[in-house]
Amino acid sequence: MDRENVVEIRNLKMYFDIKMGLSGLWSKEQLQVKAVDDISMDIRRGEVISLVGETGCGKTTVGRLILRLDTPTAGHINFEGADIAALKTKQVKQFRKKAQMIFQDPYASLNPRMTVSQTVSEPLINYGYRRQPEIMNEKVAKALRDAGLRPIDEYIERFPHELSGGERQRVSIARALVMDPTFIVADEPVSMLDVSIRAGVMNLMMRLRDQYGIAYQLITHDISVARYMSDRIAIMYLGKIMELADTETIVKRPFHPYTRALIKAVPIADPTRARPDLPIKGDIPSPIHRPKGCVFNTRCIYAVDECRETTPPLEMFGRDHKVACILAHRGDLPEPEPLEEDEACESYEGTNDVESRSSEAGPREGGAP
Amino acid sequence: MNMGHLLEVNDLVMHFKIQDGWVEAVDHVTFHVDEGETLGVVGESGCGKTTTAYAVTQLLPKNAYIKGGYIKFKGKDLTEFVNDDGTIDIFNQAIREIRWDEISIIFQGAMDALNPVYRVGDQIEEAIMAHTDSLPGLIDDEFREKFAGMRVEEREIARHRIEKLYDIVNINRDRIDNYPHEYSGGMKQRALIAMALALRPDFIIADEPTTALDVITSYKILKEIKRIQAEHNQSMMMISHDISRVAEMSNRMAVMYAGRIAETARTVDLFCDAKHPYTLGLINSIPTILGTKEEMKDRLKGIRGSPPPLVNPPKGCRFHPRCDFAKDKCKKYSPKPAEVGPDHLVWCWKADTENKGHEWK
Repeated sequence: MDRENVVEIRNLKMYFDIKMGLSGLWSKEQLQVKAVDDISMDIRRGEVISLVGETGCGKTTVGRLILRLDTPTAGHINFEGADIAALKTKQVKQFRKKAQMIFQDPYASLNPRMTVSQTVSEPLINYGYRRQPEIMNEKVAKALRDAGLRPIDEYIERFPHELSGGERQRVSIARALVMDPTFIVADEPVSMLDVSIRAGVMNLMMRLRDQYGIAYQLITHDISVARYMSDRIAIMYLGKIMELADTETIVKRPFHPYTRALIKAVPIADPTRARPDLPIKGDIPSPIHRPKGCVFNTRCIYAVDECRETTPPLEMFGRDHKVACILAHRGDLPEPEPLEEDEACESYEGTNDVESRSSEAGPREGGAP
Repeated sequence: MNMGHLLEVNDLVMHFKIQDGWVEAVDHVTFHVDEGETLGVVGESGCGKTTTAYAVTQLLPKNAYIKGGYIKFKGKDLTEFVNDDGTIDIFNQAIREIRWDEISIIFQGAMDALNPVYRVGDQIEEAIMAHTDSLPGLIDDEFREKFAGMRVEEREIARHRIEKLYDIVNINRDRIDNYPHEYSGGMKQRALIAMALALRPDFIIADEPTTALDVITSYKILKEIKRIQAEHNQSMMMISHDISRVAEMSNRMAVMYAGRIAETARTVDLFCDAKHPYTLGLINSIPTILGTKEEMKDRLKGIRGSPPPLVNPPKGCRFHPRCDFAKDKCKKYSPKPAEVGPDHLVWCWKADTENKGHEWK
């Protein structure tokens, strides 16, 4: 194993059997949702890696599998060199200490009857710190300070309903921090928060990474958030990784057709910008009846017959850049279009000039019939 | 310029009565929407953006009290229909005739807005049939040809309209008689757009029309809304917490904070020349995929603190506890709007002072 890696995922599969109605009694075939289908990747020490994809692409399932909250159908996950499926009870307890989770909904993930200090000290109590109250209190105070809940005296006896959304999320972060983890799965940590407090929570998580070298697996649907926070991004679609590369490559030079469509769809705060058609067709197919060959072929504008037959493996494409696309590897895809840079305000000269520009691009374009 | 506003909301005050007092959800709100224009309304959850929009159609709960101001739609004051004590009669016939016929709403959350036990087509038909007066207006040439010389029932007009609507929003006509669970999320949202367009309203309120959808679906639907709107020259008010989505869609924007408007301006002015500290803070809270990562790291600061409750909100400017520029004046007096440019109003003492050529100290 590589000492650089905290987590190594090898050929991970998670299939869920689905119960059918009456018709299921007659059909011999057991239908399955392949939530995660043969994924391999590494998470390096102290890195932030994002799983990005649309609803139902399997990104949350991967997070749950790494934390041993579900048992995979097949494949292995090594955490700091040890296969987590083979851990003994005692080792599981050590593993749980090092691998923590931050949940999406700060309103649902805190117990409303527990004060901040009870919530944050509970993991310590589970690990036998009850007999050392001084050490415990010191650890709780440090975690709260690290999570930016200062002065801590003001927060420690409060209940969740007395906290704002951002403060609650900071309490969940403190709860994860208190065990000195090396790895945290953060499932959409800011998507439920108000826009103005998201940046604060994101900056906090990044500061903790710098300070303690914690590796994060960030699960998000928002490429802009993933770009801000992570070193590398993995793009998932229907249970498979489509492209995996460092953040700037994914954003500026994506090679998988799906990544390109995703990037183009990211909202950009510029009213003058034209909105082109996306290079993607149709809707996401049902995860029960996934397309044969490349799972993306039904929506790909470049797909050829071969894509409908063979499943492309996730192969090395460039330095630290993997793509699962036959056409990309063969060089049959056009070069990525450069992202138009943000020039809206550079040429801004005040209101008079704007009149002509905004009406050009405004929704009245084309005029009334 | 002031004559032609399609919708003009002036100094609107709407509070909710609750056990502990009043929730000051909409407090002295002023804005307008011109013909063919899209006004984007942004703000964080609980800032009153949805409530303001619903106040226009008077779709408000029993504990809502309109306490002042007016809402003029096509020159007609809609607050005339409000009861004497400020409460709202949602069944008022006069407002019901305007609702959907002239002002319609694309509701938030496509998943919940459709009734799961009725066919989607029947639900749209219900909306159309509630306004039988406008049925003749929905007859087009194609319909005349199809039913030439025949006796037509009202339902057939509605049916024909629904088929047309499905063409407009790009759903196959075969799906009209499906139930909502047979639709994907994107299709449900399209069906809701079809419903909002049913009676050819002049004004559409789109309340977080794509928040629940994935990026790709949301992109396609917003593009569709923009196309339809341009073809029919409709006006729109789009409400969202996502400032970049709103910027894509709108000509003008209004930023709301804690029940009040902070700033209104043409979208470009708002982005390139924002004057309210809250607007600036919001713009500097969203990560983008443009520019370099370092630039973004310098920019992304967020705003300290969190939005206040609307029961006993802060005195004076409601943003002052979170504002880096706040002075004593901000704590005592609510700011008056300052016109800092054409069509650009800012409710901020600092902007007001600087606009008059004085230093803010």
